[in-house]
Amino acid sequence: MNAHKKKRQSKKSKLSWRKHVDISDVEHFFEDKWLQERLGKPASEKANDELFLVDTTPNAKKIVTSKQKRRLLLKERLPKCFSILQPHTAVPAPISKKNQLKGKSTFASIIEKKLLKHLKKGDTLPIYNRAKVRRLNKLKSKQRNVTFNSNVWNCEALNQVDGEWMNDDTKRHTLHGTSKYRKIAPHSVHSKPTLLPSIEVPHPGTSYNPNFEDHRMLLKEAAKREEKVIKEERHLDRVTTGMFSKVTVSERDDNWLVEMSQGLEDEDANNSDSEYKSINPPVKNKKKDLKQRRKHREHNKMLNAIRMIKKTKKKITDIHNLKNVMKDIQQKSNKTEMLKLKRLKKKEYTRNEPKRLARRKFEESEIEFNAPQDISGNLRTLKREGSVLMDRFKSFERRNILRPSSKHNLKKGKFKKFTKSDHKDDWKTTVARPNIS
Amino acid sequence: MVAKRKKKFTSGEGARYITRQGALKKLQLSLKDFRRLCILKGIYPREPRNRNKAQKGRSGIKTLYHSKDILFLMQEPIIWKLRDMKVFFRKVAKAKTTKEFGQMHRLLKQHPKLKLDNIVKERYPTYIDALRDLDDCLTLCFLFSTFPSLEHINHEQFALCRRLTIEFMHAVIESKALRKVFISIKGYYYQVEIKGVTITWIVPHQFGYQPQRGEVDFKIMSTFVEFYIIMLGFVNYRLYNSLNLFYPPKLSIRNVPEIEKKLVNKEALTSERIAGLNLPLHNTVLHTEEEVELDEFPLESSSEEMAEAKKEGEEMNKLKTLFKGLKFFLNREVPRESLVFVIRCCSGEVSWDKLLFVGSTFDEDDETITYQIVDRPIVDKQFISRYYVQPQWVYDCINARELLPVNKYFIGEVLPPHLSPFVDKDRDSYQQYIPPEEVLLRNPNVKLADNDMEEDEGLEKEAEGEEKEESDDEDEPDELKDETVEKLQQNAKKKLSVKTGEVEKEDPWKKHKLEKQEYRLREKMVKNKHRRLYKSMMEGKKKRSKEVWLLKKKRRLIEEKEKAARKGKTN
Repeated sequence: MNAHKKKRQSKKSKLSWRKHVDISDVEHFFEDKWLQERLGKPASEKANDELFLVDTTPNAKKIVTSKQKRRLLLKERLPKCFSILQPHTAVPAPISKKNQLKGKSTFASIIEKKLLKHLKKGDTLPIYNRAKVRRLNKLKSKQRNVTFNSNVWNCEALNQVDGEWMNDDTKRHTLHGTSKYRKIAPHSVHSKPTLLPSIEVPHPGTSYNPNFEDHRMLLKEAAKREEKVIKEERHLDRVTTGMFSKVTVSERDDNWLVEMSQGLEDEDANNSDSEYKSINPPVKNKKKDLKQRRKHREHNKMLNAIRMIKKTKKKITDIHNLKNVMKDIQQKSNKTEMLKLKRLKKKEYTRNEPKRLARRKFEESEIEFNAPQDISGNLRTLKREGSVLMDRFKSFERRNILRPSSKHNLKKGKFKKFTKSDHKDDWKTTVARPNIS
Repeated sequence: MVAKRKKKFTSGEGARYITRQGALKKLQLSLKDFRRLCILKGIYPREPRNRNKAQKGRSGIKTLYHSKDILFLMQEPIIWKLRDMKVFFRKVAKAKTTKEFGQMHRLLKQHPKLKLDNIVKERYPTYIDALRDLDDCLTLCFLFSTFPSLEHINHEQFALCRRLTIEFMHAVIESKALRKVFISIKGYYYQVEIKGVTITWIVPHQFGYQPQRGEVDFKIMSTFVEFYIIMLGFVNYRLYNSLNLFYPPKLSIRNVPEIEKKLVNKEALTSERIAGLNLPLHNTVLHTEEEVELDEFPLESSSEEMAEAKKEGEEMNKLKTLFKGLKFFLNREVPRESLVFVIRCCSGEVSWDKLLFVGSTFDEDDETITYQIVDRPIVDKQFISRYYVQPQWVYDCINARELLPVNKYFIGEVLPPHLSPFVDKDRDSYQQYIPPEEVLLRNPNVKLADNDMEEDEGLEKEAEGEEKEESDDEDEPDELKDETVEKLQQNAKKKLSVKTGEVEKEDPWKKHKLEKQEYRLREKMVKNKHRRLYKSMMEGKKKRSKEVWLLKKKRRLIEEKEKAARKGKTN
C-alpha cells in the first residue's frame, strides 16, 4: 500500500487543515517574538545607543574596591526579598485591574467618594453616622409620601346625581343603599361645643418683662386661687380628721374591749329567766265577731259622713273666699316667673363654664406666673413657666371637647411571679422526706 | 282594645342621648378606637338638660353623646379601616411573639393608613371655616414640631409637623399677615390675619425638650395632631395657591456654593434652606404688586367708621413695610426663628452667623447692616454704622406699628416693660382707670393734661376767663347785629340785589346740643324688651366712670399734698 503523496490535499476539515498545512514558520515567528518579548530584541537588531553607553564622565582615578562595588550594586538593586513580587516576564498582564471587593455602596460611601474628588490636600473627610443617615433618609422618604396636591374645598358636594331636576330628597333617596350615599353631617359637627375662644388672651402680667401693675394683678389672681384651695383643704381637714380626737394606744384598746363586750351581760341576765321567748312569735289570725264588725262599719260610716259635710261646707266658704284663691294663684305664677328668671340668669352665668361630661369634675390648671425674683427682664435668661401641651389639654377639657379624665396612670401592672414547672424542685420533697427544701 | 303602652325613654330626652358604653356597643369598636374616631370626626360628649331622663333613670354621671352623632359615625368608612387595623395588629403581634421577624416586617410595610381628606371637607365645608378653627391646629403642630421622637407615637408625625409649620410661616411671610406678637413666659403668641380671619397661636420657647410624662395623655393629643396635620396641609395648599406660590415650596439654589451642594442631596439642601425662612419662594407668575385701596363710599352716616377703617388700613400698610430697607444681623444668642419670621413679615432683611444655621445671606462685617440684635451685656467688637439693640425692640416696634426710639433698648439697658398687645387697646379711659404711667407707655407723644401742666393751670384759667368775658361781650353785639342785619335784609328785599355769599359757620355748641337731642330720641326707640338691660348698662357705665373720676381725684389730691409738702420743705 504505497500512498502517493498528493500534491494537493483537501483542507476541508479542521483536522485535515492541521495535518497538511505547514505552519512551522508562523510558529517559529511567534516563538521568536515571545522570546524577544521575554528577553528583549536580539543584539543584532538593537540600536547602538541601546547596546552601548556613552561615557560622559571623565575617567576618575578613584579606585573602588571590589567589595565597595558590590556594596554599591547591592544598594541600587531591589532587595532580594522583594524579587518575588516582581513580574518574571515582560508580558503585560491581560487584566490590569486588580480584583475589587464588591460591597454595598451606601449613601454615605457615595458621598465620601464624591467628596474625595473635591478635597484639597490636608483636608479630612467628615465622619458620617451611616445608620443615622439611613434612618433620616427613610424618614424623609416617608415624609415625602404625604403630599397635599389638591384643593379639598373645590371638589363636588355630597350626594350628587346627574339629574338636575331632582330635588335633594329625591337624590338622597335614589342614592340610598349605593356606595355613593354619604350621610349628611349633623349640625353638631359644624357648631362648636362652646363659646370660649381656643386661645385665650394672655394676661398682660405673663409677659416675660411685665409691667409692674400687670404683674401685681396676676400675682393677686394667683394668690386668690391659692387661698381658695387652702380654704377648701382646711375645711376638709376639719370635717374629717379634725372630727376625731386622738387617743393613746392603751386607751384605744380599752375602748375596744368595752365596745366589744356590749350586750354580753344583758344576755346573761336574759338567760337567767330560763323562759324561752321567740324573737318573732307566730301570728294568730284572730277573727272579729259580728258585733265588732258592725261597730267598725258604723264608725266608718260616721267618719265618711263628717268628711262629706266638711267638703260641702268648704265649697260654700270658698265662694266667699275667692279673693284669697286668686291671690294664691297670683303668688304661684309669680314664683314660677321668678324661678324662670333665675334659671335664665344661671344659664347666662354658666354658659362659659365647662359642662359636666363625666364623673370627674373639670379642674382648673394653676395660674402660671413668674415670681418677682425670677423676672430677669431679658429674653436670654427668661424662666419658662407652664407648658403649652398642658395648656392645650386643659383648654380642650374646658371647651367640652374632651371629657375631664383622671391623670394618666403611670403605674404598671404588677407581675405575678411563678417558677416554671420544669424548674420547680419540689420533686425533692416526697412523702417520705417532707421537710427538704 | 287598649292602645299599645308607650315604653319609657323611647322618645324625647331619653332617646336623644346615648351613653359612651352604648355607643361602643353600637359601633362595635374598642374604647381606644372610639376615642380616636370621635376626635377625628369632631364628635364631642354632650351635657343633657335633664340628666335623669337622658340616662334613662340610671344614677351617677355618665358620659353622653347625641345618638344622632353616633348614627352619623356609624356610616363612616373609617370604621372599617379601624376594624381592619385591629386584625392587622393582631397579626403583627403574633408574628412578633412567634419570632417570625420576616413576616412581621413584611406586614409592617403594609401598615394601613387612614385617609382623612374627606373628613377635613366634611368638618369644614369652606376654606374660611377651616381658617377659623386654625388656632388649635397651629398651636399643637408648632408644639409637636419641637418634640424628639417619642415612644408609642409615630415619629414621622413630628417631622411632618415641622415641615407644615414652616410652610405656613413662609405663607405668612409672603402675605405679610402678621399683626401682633407677644412674648409670654409660656411662649410666643403670634396673631395673623388671613382673609379677614384673625388666627392666634402659641409657639413654645426654644429650650431643650422637657419630658411631660404623666400629666397629659400623649396619645389623645397625637390623635388631634393626626387630623390637624391633614387640615394644615390642605390649608397650606390653598394659601400658597392664593399667593401664587408653588406648593410644595420651591427655592432657587443657584447661589449656593458647589461644596454645599455636594454635601447633601438636593432635597435636603432645599428643605434646610426653606427652614431657614430667609429666602423668598418661587412664584408661579411674575409678581405684580397690588395695592388694595379702600373704596370710598359717599355715605355721610358712616363717615367716622370709614375714617377709622381707612386709618386702620393705613396702619396695616405701615406695619407691612415697617422694616423695609433695614438690614438686621442676629447674634447667636437670640431666638433666630422667631426673629427672622417677625422681621421678614415686616419686609426687613435678616442674616446671621454662617455657622449658626443654613441660609444666612450676609456676614457680620457687612457695613450696610443697620441693626444688630444682641442679647448679651457686652459686645467686644462694635461697628459704628449700626445700632446694637436687644430683641425686645423688634417685638415692641411691631406692636406699636412704628419704629420706636432705640435708646431704651441698647445693650445693657434695663428694658421698658413688654406690654401685651392683646389687651383691649382702646379700652375707654372713661370706663376704666388707666394710670398715667401706662398712658405714657402706650403713647409717649401724649401730653398728660392733669399733672404736668399744673403750673400753667393758673395762667390757663385766667386766659379762659378772659376768653369767656370776651365771648360774652361779643354775644350781645352779635344779637344786636343780627337784628340790624335782619332789618337791613328786609329793606334789601325790596331793592333786589346780589351780594357775595357768606359761609355759614357751624356753631359747635348748637351741633352738640342737636346731637344730644337726637341721641335722646334714639334712646326712646329702645324696645321695651331691652329697656331694662339698656338702663342697667348705662347705670353701670356711669358708676364706672364715677369710680374712675374718684380715683383720679384721689390721686390729684395726694399729689397736691405731696407737692405742698415739698414746697414747704424747700421754703
